[in-house]
Amino acid sequence: MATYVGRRLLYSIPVILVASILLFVFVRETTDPTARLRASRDTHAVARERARLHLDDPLPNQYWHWLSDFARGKWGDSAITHRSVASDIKRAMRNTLQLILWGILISAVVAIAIGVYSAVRQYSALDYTFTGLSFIGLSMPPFWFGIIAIELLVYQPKHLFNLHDPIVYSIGLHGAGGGVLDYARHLALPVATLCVQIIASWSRYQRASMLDVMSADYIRTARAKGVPRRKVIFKHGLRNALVPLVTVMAIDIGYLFGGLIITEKIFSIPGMGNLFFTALDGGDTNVLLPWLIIVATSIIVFNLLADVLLGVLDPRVRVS
Amino acid sequence: MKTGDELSDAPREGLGGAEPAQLLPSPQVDAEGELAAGAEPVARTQWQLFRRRFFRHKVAVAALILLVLLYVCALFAHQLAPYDLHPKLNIDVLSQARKGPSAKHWLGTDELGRDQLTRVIYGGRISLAIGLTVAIAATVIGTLIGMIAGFFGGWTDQGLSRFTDLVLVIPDLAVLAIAGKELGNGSVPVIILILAALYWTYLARVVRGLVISLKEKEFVEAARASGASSFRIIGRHILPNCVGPITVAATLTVATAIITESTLSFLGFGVQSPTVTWGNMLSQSEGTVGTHLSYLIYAPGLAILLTVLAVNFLGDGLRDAFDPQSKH
Repeated sequence: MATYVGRRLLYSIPVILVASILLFVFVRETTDPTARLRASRDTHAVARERARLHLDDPLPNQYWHWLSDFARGKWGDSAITHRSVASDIKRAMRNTLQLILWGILISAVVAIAIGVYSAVRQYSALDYTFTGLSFIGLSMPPFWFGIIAIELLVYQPKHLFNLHDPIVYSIGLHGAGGGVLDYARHLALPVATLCVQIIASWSRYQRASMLDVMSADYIRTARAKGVPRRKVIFKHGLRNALVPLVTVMAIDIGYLFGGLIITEKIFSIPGMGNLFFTALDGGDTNVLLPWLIIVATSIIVFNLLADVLLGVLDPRVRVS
Repeated sequence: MKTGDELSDAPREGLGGAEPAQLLPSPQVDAEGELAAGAEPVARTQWQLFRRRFFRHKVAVAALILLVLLYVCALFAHQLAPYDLHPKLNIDVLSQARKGPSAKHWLGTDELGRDQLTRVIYGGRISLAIGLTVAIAATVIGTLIGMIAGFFGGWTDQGLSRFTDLVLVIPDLAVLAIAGKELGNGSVPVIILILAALYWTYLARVVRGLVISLKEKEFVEAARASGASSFRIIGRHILPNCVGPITVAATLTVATAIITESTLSFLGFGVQSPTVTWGNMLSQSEGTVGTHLSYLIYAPGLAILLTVLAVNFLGDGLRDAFDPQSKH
């Protein structure tokens, strides 16, 4: 097991390094950190800033400087807020993590329930309904779902029933001095927007893997021995059917850190997505680069986690 | 996060995806009781078998019809649209502004009195064109890379597979937003190019897996023994056997590309006004949420949803038709 994990880990390091080179060159070539100085009346302002930022050095030197600073935790200050980049990212990450955590939790419970039901009652009316819904969920542009949800669940009920406050909120994460209920009312819509695609995809996976497992020989053996149906489904069936889903979940979670861009934008949540847009609008490469590296790293780390989990849950994988 | 179809259908490393060998069309499975007692068995070509299986999938046929209609609408937007796309903003047009759906304007008009139906019809042009072009480009790149990696193996495979992993790690939406803002200024070819550059990986993985299992097959060995060149083996024996899975994967890429393009345009980094797309229509009407103009948010989104839904159902039907063994 240790060699298996070690091999995977060793393989991830060059991927991160090469990805960081690509992203560095990409950001350097596309985004000009001196753009906001162009309008300055001081004609030397741009040249001074370029010299200060070593922008005229050869790219490999620039990358090396940046990497050695980045690796030592010297991430610098944001060109817009003038706060340290690390603290800005930490603050944004805390909000994003709340969304991700609730999103994963709810998605996992709902998707597993739907998947198991659909597999056990294959070709029932509800199974067809879930299949249809999952196709719609997978085809739904997330940003449109968010807009429609705000219109239909925030504004329409407010107009209709003449409410002072909407039932659920469409902005931010907290109200002033609100309790658990207030938190839930803020999170409901963004988490729902996040969950639509995930539930649609995970429930399909769960259904397929549950169907696979339920037709296995050991399930028939268990049934033939007279094990109660419920026990066969949950103890023999579900436990094995979860293995592929767990790895898929791990991989998808890695992609979530970057994918929240849309949800956070629509619901004005001060998380990683909003941080990205502020940095992009202001040409703030000090924030853009660490942001991209962190998101790319999270994808790699969760891919690694998926491999390791699979190795733990399914010993056959380790050998190959 | 990757968009839906990649979540659901991308073969995961190790588990989840179907065994490549299973994806091959196998004629003997689908005799479907055609051999009635005493009757002469009817010889059918692969193509006939495929067509019969596809047309039995009613939803997929409906999806195909819808897609053809959508593409016809996009092609003949000039003739079909009831009004001008960019009308001169005179008093006649402006007096029609902010009107909800009516007999004259089926989907209502926006703040400037422009007909929404017209804009939805024209908006489809860009989305559908981008979806198709990206899928074709991504398919060509992905098939080529996957084919070379799978067929030649060894260091070639190592290098190309690591390269694929690398592209998969790049945060796509963020990179697209940066590129859209700083490079293309919303030009359609640039967006197509970048989307294709990011979305070929899924195809490369599918094709590589297929080729690895196919090249061990006896008929390939026989071809090699009879002195066929690598080029001929790939072209005559391997590629034709990959057509099914490639078509399915390409279809799913169309869906991904359409959603990503509309997301990008919605965020303001994609195709820019005055070019109309479903994405930037939604971006312009986002502000009407909660006002009496909120009818503007439905049609463009519904158009995207229906298109992508149709593409996904078509992909599902194609998969079933190419591979009768798989049960989804």
